[in-house]
Amino acid sequence: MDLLKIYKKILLIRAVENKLDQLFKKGLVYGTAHFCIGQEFIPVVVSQHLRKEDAVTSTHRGHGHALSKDLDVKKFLAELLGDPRGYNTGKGGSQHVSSIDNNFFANGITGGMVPIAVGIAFANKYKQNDNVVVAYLGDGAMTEGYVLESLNMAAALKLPILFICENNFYAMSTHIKKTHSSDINKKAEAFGIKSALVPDNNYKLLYEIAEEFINDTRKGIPHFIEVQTYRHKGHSKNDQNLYRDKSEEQYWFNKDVALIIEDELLSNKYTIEDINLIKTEIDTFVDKISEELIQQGSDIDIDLFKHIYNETK
Amino acid sequence: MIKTYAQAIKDTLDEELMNDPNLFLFGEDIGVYGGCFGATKGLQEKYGNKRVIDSPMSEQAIAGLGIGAALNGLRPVIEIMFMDFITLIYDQILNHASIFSYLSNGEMKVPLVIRVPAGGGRGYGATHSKSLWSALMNIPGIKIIAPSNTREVSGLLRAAIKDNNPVIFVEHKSLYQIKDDVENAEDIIPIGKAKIVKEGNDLLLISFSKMVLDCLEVANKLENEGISIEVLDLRTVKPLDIETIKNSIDKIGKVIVVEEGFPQSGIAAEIIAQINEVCFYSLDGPIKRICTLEIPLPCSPKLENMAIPSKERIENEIRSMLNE
Ligand SMILES: Cc1ncc(C[n+]2csc(CCOP(=O)(O)OP(=O)(O)O)c2C)c(N)n1
Ligand SMILES: [Mg+2]
Repeated sequence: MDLLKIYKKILLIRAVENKLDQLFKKGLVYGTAHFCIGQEFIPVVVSQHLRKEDAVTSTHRGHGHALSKDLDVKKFLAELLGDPRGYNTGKGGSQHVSSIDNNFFANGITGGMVPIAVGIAFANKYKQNDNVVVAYLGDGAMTEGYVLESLNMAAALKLPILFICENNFYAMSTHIKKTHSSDINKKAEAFGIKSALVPDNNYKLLYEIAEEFINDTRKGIPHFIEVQTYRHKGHSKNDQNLYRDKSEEQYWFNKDVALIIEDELLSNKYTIEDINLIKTEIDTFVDKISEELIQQGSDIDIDLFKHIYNETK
Repeated sequence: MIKTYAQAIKDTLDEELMNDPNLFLFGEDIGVYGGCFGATKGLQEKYGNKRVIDSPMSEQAIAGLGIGAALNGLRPVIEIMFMDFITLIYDQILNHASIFSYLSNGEMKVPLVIRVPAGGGRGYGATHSKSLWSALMNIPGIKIIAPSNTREVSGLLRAAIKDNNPVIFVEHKSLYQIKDDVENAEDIIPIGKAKIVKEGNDLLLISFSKMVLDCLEVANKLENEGISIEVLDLRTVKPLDIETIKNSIDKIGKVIVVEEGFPQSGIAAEIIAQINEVCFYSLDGPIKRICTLEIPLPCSPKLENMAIPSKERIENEIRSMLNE
């Protein structure tokens, strides 16, 4: 496991989200966003085992999924800012970033991409390649009927798809104890899908299980991982987390994967100066691209009616 | 060559399965059973269960599978058993299939055909008889085709399959068994083009799907009395061919729109609104619409017949408009 690479990617995702948060507060961004700080290690770790041709479907909380699938940071930030230089020329925004080159697809309907992820996996099997699909979803999405249909479909058709449920214990303000009466990974198992639980932000366990599961998924067997994790910020931009207990928050802040990896790097060959340098480099990079985007502006015109229908032959 | 509407659909699917290895069929009971109306019968036997696939009874996942497979380079033709169930996949159409091309600026495409039977006249009752095209009409990015006859169903289906966008292909339950000679039928019929199926001078009937047949019967009957009715078959409901409608109205100022959906916010309502915008001054008077009564569709033949536009109703409305 390349800890440094994982650490840097986590910090990059964090820096982009913190920048976005800052720009929101300055009134420079329109709309809303759902921050993934605290959970971003999941796609970062999982992506260590993915290839470019593997597809990822994402959610409303998708910044980490996107950057882990190696979307270009500047083009991605541009999209969040509603800039025509963004991946979707500003039509998509935070919840609907997609890039065919990266095989990355997101949508703001909770769990809505899960049935489509199954279809992407179906096509891979049909074409007899060994690409996999990773479908991210939340604990809330796990209560949507179409997600359950999709689990059953993937199992019945034996499709090469890995479902990853980022169980952060809340769907907006609603705790899972009000919405689930059985373990999430057990639900997937009931459909005949090999499942695993990764508790407590255990990124090392996730790394191992993801490696094994992705290898087996490539052979055409669906898998499911429930990762218990926590979002550090509110559900979306302005949420104050009034429904969360402070001691619960503290418990999870102490389990922040970025901090844990940092300690590990420090106890290896890295010094605090090395770490600070990495942080500064990443922050400077994100500052620079955001300033370029804001200062240089863009006057690209977008034809509102173009591409409603795909006119390619 | 004489075929039924169902056979024409099956033969087209057969040819396209043969032509394009990336095309596959997916839906509930479309294999050995052949679909509820026999439109896929024998295809699984011929192409195997990797290309003609019996799906679980999970409409949303069926739609999602079609969308995902289309995004990933295949050409799925999925089937939803009855149009009443289109509501179950509404989210997948509205919030997913229809937005990918637009948001990706044309980099992504969803060449997906959703075959679905609509319509009443079979006594299937409130949950298996509806014609819900208007629920789909205001979704940007999709197309809706509703063939009215056996000679054209094949050309329209082939156009739907070749199109690179999500197409809802609405078949009609009462048409499946209608036979016609399909010799020299058009191989492919362009989407978005209406057709004048009978010319006339006194009054224009605009319709689509099975109601075109009823309109034609009434028009032919009245022809014997010297009443000259023009009948326009939309063929494609969306995008709507308002040009062809306008051309007829510029010639004939009396218009009735006949459709099997409900009246409020229906396709007829939309057509009337668009006519108002593009050729109001060519009209002789108010446009009428004839639609299914706005009630949950009853099952008994007597009650169902009262609810769905009948030939008598069409004839009476024509006479009363001509006598005004
Ligand atoms: C179908 C649907 N229902 C409701 C919403 C509004 N909504 C957005 S996110 C969310 C909660 C999602 O919870 P979860 O799946 O656990 O993901 P998390 O936000 O915790 O990452 C809700 C209710 C939505 N976007 N789509
Ligand atoms: Mg959650």
